[in-house]
Amino acid sequence: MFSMNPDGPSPEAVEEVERLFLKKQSVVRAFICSLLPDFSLVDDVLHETFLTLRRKAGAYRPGSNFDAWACTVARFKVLEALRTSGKRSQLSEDAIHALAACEEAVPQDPRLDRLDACLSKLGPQTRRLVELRYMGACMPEEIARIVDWTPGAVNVALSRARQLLRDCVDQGDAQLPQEPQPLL
Amino acid sequence: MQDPRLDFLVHGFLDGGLSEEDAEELDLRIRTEPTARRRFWELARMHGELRLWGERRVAQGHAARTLAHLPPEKTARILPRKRLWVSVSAAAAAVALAALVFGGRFSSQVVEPHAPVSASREVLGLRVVESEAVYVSGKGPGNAGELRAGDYELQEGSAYFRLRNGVDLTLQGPARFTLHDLSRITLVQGAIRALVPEGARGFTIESSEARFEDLGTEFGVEVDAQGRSAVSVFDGEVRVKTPDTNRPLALVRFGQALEVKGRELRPLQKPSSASFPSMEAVASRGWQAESRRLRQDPDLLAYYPFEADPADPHLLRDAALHGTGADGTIQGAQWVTGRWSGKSALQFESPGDGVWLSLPGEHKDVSMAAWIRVDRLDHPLNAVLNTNGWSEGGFHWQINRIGSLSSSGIYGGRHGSIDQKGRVPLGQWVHLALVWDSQAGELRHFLNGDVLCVRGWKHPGFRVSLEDACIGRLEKWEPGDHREFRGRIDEMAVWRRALSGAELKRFAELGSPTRPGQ
Repeated sequence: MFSMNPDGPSPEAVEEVERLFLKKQSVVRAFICSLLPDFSLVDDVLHETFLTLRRKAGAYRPGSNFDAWACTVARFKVLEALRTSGKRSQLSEDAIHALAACEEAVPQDPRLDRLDACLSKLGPQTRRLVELRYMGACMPEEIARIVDWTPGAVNVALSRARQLLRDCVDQGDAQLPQEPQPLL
Repeated sequence: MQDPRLDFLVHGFLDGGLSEEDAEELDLRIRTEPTARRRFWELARMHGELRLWGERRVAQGHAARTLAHLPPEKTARILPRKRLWVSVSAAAAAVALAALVFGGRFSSQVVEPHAPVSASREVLGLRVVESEAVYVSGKGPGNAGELRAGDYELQEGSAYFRLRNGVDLTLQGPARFTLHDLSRITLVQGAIRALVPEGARGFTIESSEARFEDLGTEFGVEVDAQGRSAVSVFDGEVRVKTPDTNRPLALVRFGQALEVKGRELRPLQKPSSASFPSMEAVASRGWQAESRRLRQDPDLLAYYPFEADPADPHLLRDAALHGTGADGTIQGAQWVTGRWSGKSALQFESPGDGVWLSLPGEHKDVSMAAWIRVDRLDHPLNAVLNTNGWSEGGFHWQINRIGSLSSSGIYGGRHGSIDQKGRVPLGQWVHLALVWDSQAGELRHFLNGDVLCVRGWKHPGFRVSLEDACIGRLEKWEPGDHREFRGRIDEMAVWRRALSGAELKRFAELGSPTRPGQ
């Protein structure tokens, strides 16, 4: 599926892949963020993923699972970035490959609208930690210095916050209105 | 089953804080336990979504309080995004906005694979639309309409660009300019109109005579062959400075205009808006050029550009040059403004409003496309274009009450429906299309040029007939079954062939209005 066409992909294939990438880049980006706790590499990995997808556009079959293909390429780019940046992942390459082989490895479209509402339910201190981690791209050690907590306490608070938010967003799923049956 | 130890390890990984021993334990479990891998993704998904949320908040300018706690080198890393084509709804808010507004136009922005990324290679902006634009060889935007730092020369026609920081620029040829970066342009000759958002305040257009610095929000600069420079302020204020020492010379306010030659300043009577095409005007001209091309398509069954005919306000003229002259009859619907000022549309508002059509023939392949703006969805089903009643070969192209597209074809006395997909937003111009493709055995729905859904349609004997059809309503409905459309329609075309996604994408892009909400 990923073999290179010596003549290169057609402009139409490239255009289609670019279009799909633009549409789905948040899914790919979320996938990359999940494998890279330090967000500083995410832009580079996403960029390299885009270039590779574009170069291999001829291998993409319209109608097949673009998300899965893009995330497969992104996984290799994550590993490449970890190798070349000298930053050490806490997971081995085998583990990252195993994760990507998991059927849940391709995230769904993010549910950011519901997330906004759920975040407003957090207490002010927890919300501040979440903002520093995800808006400020701070690692727990940096957050601990800013808020004068121990890194361990920040870790615990962040994991609890993610759990609460996950429950809240998932419950939101159940409350979404069902589409009515077609009326002809 | 709960596994607090695994949750602890995964959360620790996501925050980069695992000890070596813990990392080894997580590594082993991920490699050997499918349940551990599933749990990893359950927890990691929220982590990824939170980062997207965080980037979006930063892009929306909500980060001041958070960033105030961080050292400058950290904030500098967070805020700017050097790679336009991979920004999500993040740092470059304008880019994300444009991606939404222009329905994926940004997908075409491309750099050469493995090209080194440096400031000079950076894409600074993109063409939104242009009308019959001709550039001097080597001095135009890239193949995908991208602008990078460099020299540009538009010989004729007009063009509309949007920079990454949200600055909108329009030009009318002939015009020569140098784009330095996101905050500075040198205009050598010609005229540029700039609409500058709050975040790009300070944007400057320079000439040999002066610097014109935006203090918000819309102005034009004109430079003639003799180097005479003039600024016209349409909204807000512009500070005029010396080109060399950057010394303030004058403040030009809303409704004022000023000419600069040497050190002489001469107030002009009023802004010369005629020299500066508006963003809407460029977009409108671009669409007009495309509309003229479209009329010549030999496969058109009918093409309705919705141009009001003063001689007969009840006539919806079919402009297809090789069609059958299938003019429509307007009942009730009123002529109003369409996607741009000067573009007419029909407003469907009252009971009975509609346009009756009769297009001859039966067709195994048919494509239909329309620009519509939905005001309300009053009924369970709201007609875009319907054949009347439920005759063989008929179809109903409609939007349901929650805004999803819903269609059916009638064959063998039965309905075949297409899944309801997508959401048509209220109050915005959108491009809808429906394609019956007999060769592929498919029925395809498009919204703004993107495929929404595809359904198998394997009825070789099925032929679409539009001999008795209606825009904006369903005639011959059953009692209580009202399907009247409530909103505006300003263009519709019907072809006797299955259009490709690329063709529909092109129509959606070229006809797109320029601003959100229009």
